[in-house]
Amino acid sequence: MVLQQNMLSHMLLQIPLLILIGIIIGLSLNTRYHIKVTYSYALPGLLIASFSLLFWMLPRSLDASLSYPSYAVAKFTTLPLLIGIPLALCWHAITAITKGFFITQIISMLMVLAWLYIESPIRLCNYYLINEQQQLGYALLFLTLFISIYYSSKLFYCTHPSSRENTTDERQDVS
Amino acid sequence: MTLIINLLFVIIVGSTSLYFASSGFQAFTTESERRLRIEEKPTSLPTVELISSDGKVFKLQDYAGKYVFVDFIFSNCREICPAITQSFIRLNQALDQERNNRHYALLSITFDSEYDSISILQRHATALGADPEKWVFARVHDETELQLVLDAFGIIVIPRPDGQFEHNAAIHLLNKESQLAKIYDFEDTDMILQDWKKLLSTSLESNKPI
Repeated sequence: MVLQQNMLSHMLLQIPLLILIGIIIGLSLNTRYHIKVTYSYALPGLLIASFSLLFWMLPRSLDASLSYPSYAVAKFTTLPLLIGIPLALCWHAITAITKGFFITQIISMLMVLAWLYIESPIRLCNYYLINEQQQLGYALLFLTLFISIYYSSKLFYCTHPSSRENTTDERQDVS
Repeated sequence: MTLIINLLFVIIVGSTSLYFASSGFQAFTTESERRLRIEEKPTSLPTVELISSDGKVFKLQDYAGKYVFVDFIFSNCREICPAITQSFIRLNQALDQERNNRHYALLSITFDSEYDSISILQRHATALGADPEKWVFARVHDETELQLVLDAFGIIVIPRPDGQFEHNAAIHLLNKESQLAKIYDFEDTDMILQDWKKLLSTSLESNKPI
């Protein structure tokens, strides 16, 4: 609850932490029950995660999670369940190209949000101050730069082809 | 095949929920949602008692039969309220020159009920040269009643560390049934005046007094 008092900690601490909780649950489920997700389920699974993330990126949803208890409950459940768990279970089951696709989508989405929050002359969330909105914009900008630099650097040192796991999944899927 | 069916399913469910979450991809912020919702369906307002700067007690519903432009301000405001107030002054001058100038009223409600006492509001109104016949400054009795009004209008006020308040600023139009009927950007006085002319001409066509 304390995290929601500031836009920056709401968006960049609370939401990622809730997703992280989901990831941890997903990973522990995986080690316990050895869930094997095939590509036909992994890709839709990640798409569910993307849609859920998009939903919570609407300024309106963020406001609603502060105004209405139902939205608050939805936030605390869907972030771990619909984003964290699918990420943990499906990420290893998709191909390198699909991973690249998702990573570029995330980068561009964060970049657009950063630009929007920095440049918007009006407040996008009714519950937060305009300077918090700009701070968040700059934080997102740095985060996105960091992510893109991290993945760009992989171009130089990860020169081996994608892992064997992915290729077997793909073959199963074609049949 | 399973992949395609699964993907289609997720895409359909996902986009439908986003469609509803953004009122058909039209409103992404709470503010735009509020404007869209009210334009589609005017909403009734609570019958809360207001006290004007000259001490008169009244209700929003007492304006029935008139179009009322409402804004929310606090007298100490240094940023956005003076700009809204300027819009109100411009609006008042323009509307006053229209033929049917008896059919509108301006109302500024303060949400700083702690500081803005009646005497402070009175000083504020006099400093602005507001004609009390046309433009009323008012406050609400207490915080609970204030919250009722703010909720009905959809105004969210958050105190800032420097003693100022951050709030969604707009000009609200109440129709003759004292319902909240439309919300304008406060800079948009031209649009308000255009709409006002339309409002006048339609009521002339139907031969009804507005």
